[in-house]
Amino acid sequence: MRRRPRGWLPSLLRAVVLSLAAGILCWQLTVPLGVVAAIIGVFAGALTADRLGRDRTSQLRSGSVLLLALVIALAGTWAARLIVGNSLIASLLGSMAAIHTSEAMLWFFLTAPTVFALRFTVHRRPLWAVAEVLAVGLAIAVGFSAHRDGMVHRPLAIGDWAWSQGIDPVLIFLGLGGLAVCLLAGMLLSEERRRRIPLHMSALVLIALALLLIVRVNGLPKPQGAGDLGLTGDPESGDESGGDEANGGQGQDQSDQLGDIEFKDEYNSGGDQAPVAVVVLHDDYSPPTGVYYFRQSVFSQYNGRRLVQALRDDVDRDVVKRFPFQPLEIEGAPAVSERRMALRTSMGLVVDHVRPFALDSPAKIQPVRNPNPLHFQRAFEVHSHVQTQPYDELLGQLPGSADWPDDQWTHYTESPTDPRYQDIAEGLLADLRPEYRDDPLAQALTVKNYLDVNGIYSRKSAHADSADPAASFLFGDLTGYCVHFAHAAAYLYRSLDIPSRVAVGYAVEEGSRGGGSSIMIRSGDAHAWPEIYLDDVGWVVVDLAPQTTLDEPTQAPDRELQRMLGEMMRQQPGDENLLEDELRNKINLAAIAKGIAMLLGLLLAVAYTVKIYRLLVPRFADSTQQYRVAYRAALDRLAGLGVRRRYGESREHFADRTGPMAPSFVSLTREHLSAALGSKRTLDGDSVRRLATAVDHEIRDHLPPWRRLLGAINPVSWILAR
Amino acid sequence: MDRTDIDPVMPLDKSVEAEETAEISVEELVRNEAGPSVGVESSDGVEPSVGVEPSVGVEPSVGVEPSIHVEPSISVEHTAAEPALVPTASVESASAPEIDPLAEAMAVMESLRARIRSQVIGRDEVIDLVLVALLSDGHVLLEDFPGSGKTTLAKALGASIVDDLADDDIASFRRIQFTPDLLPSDVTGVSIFDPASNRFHFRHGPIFAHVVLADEINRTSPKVQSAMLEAMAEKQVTVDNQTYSLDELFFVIATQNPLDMAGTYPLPVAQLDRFLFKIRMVHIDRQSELEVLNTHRERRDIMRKDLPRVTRTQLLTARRAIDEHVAIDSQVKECLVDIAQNIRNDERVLLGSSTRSLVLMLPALQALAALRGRDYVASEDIQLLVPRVFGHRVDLAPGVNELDRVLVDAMEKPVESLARSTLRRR
Repeated sequence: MRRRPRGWLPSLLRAVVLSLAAGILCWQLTVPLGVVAAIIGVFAGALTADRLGRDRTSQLRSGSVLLLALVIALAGTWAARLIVGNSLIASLLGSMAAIHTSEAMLWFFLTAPTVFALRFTVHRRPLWAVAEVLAVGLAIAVGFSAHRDGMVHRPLAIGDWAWSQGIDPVLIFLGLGGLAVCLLAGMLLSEERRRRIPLHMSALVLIALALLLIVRVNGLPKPQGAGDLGLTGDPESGDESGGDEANGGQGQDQSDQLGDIEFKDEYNSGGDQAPVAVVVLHDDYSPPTGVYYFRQSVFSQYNGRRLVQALRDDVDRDVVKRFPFQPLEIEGAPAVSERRMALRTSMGLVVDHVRPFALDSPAKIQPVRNPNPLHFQRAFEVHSHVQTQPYDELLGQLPGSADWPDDQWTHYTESPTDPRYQDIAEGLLADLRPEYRDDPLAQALTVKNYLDVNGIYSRKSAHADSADPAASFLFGDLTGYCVHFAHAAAYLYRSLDIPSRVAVGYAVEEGSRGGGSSIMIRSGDAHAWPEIYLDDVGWVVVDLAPQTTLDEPTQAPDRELQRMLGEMMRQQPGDENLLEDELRNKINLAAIAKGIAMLLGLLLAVAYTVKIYRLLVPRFADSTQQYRVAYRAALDRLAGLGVRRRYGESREHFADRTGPMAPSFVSLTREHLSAALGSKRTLDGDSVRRLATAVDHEIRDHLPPWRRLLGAINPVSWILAR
Repeated sequence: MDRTDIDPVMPLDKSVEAEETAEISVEELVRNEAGPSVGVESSDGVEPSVGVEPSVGVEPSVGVEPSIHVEPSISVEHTAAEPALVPTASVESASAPEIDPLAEAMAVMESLRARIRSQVIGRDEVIDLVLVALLSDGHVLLEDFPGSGKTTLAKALGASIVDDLADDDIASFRRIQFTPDLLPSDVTGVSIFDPASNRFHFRHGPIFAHVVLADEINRTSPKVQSAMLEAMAEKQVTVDNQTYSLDELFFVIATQNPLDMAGTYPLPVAQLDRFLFKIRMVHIDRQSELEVLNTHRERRDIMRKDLPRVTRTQLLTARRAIDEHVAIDSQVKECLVDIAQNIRNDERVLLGSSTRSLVLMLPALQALAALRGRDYVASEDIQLLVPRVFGHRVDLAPGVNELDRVLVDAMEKPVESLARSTLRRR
């Protein structure tokens, strides 16, 4: 099979792309010299294979060539190992030089024969080009792998540069992605002989359609999410449930089901590091417990197996059930007192949530303009009355509220009938000092202490199948995750007649704020915790912190990203001067761009006016001038099609050149010249116009419509005509 | 005027001839000859070869209908005009006052061209240039190798011209082979004493002819050369203080050998200026050479038998007609002057072309335009003639030998501005 020889340029470009990909792929694996060697090796291998594959394919057997490549690779690797393995050579070269030389040799002899073999095979079996494309695709993916899990500013080399230029890096990444796709498609297409290009194109279209279909069916892959706690998701269903609330109880079942948490054996908190929201504190506030709790839902009704969302309306009134469309005052919120201060926070949701969540405890919530729709799904502002006193100052309060009717007391204290809860709780109280034995907070803290010390935090557990998972956890191995701990604690509190509930939301440690005023909430921060109600104080978080954990500790948040998101939310740049400069530059640029655009528009309008005038003027012109204007119109048409007289070329010669396309143009030119140069035998104006019309028709018959269309929209054809 | 000797069959051949040559399309020729009156007569003409119409797909039957002038399509008009070729050339059928003199001149040129081409093969451009020189009252210097057909060309030309002046001693064609020992009187003629009448009689030399082939003019002494050149410039010969005027149709084709320069007297630039063209002939292509061999016998046999000849009077009339009726636009003149200026201002040129050469060029341009079937001078005429006319008049600076380049450079801008000027409103 003879292949059509191709130019050296595609081959060279391909070699460059492949060698760059190789450089990226082995960047992490070797010393700089090795990277250089790999790049050179790939380049040489690709070019050699192209040359061999193109010129003398018939003489060489694929098997022997591949075998030779393998032998070279093995020999090279062996030689590279020898340099560091043999003490004589190593000592002759010096240790560092030996290592570098060895790495360089190793990578050269690994990459060059590999790529050579690949390219050579591709020449024989074009299907293998897919491997090549995959390799380049992998290199691109690796190169941008830092840009995932919501790390919109990574890789920093691009993100930082973009921010310093005042450009949103997302746009740049999108552009790079498009470029990468084009590059890959180009590689795939350029490999094949021309006639297979339609096949490839249709294959690409098919793949694209398949992707589209998958996206249509499954939705876009959600990079972030708060895992199994059900915090994130489409708020539409949440709104729906909120609407049903007014209609009565029927829809409420659904809404309760929606936000429920389940006991699971495998708790997966989604992409741990992926940011789901950013919170900007407008005042300095340090929570007494050291943790910011953002509550989304609460579970206070015991249904015989676990706690679910309350079915009644008169409880848990401090929880917002849906995103407000206008400022919403929350009735059940605790008042501002010496125990609680007002704090304004701005929330930007990177991932949409089923319900709003707010710093404990929200008093007013209102939607605000989304400062950056590219990054935030929605934004709202919350006025929270946050707790300012530590636990010890809250001692001495009565549990629950005196205003509560009996059924509400029952609602908050109903617990499993299992007597073991009572036993454990009572047993714990035995250790409590007498003066605190009746204090609900002290009792709760004792329970907390027990669970902290004895509980083992693990995302993997085996309680979900039992009738009472909390009991299975508490009286079993005490190994579970936050939902287990929260339920067990709540049941224990309730068994001591302390009104309690389980809240779900996000818990962020104060330390991760890093001194800034913005808090980035990551999906790994999703949490469930127990709360107890103290008279005069309201709901107080008595969270658990198991001292033993089987899981890896979570990483500290990306400060850079946190700061960036916070700035975005605040709509003000971190570096005022820099940003102001950028802003000014941007404005100037925008103004200049606008001016240029207007100028261009004006020029375009003038150009089209002149063009249309010159095309139409033969209809109105005097008969004696037809030789000139009709010919000029024909020249314009031809120029629009890219057919124009060369400088210094005579009109007759130009007409002869154009003759095959428009035979009448030869006659028209002759008419024009004879009239212009003083011939006595000239046609009348009408005939000249008819001749020009004939030229028109011939052009139409001769050229495809798209070329004529291009000619028609070319605004400068009249400048090109001469 | 006597035109009876023009064979009526001629136009047909002519049209075929024109169709074969790329320089003039049939349409061009036809349209220019299509006078208002003759167009009608065309219908009864010889079968027009509508098929040769290159560009139009018109029904052949349309071509012979006299009414087609009202047809809207231009192409049809051309087809219609094609039969007009026939009556215009066979002028005898047309009444005298309605004859277009220019069309007649073109017919004369066409018949000359057809005749010479039947004898000289593969030299179409040289033939055209020679005809242009003949019609514009210039002379031609051919520079080529022996045996390249220059004599054949000159003889064919001479044989194509019929001397219709009854009583003179002027022959149609004479050939003078110049040698170093030739004397001026060998060219011009000599006075001989006639013992019978006791008087001196002037015996006309070979220069008294319509067409003179001056073979290897650089081989003879400057004395003979200057005698020859004086005759060319003044169209007269002075022998023994007696001035004898040459015929008005005095046309010299001089040749010289470019290689064998030993023992020659090269013509100085001032004398070269007397020649309108210096044509450097190149060897003809393979196909033409083969055709020369193949048709050698026929050409010898049929020479002058079946092709029409033209008379001296016709030629002179044609000269006048071309001079009067071929328009030279002022822009064309400007273009010419600009080209000459450019050549003179070029650093690579030592001596530019003279003003006389520009003056000589005008009739040459007119003749070429007419030969190409136009009644106006266009830039393609300039592009063809400038190298031929200015080439041997330009003296290049030492070390420069790219004459063609110089001329092309000099032409580019004026030709461009000439082309642009046509779009301007007058």
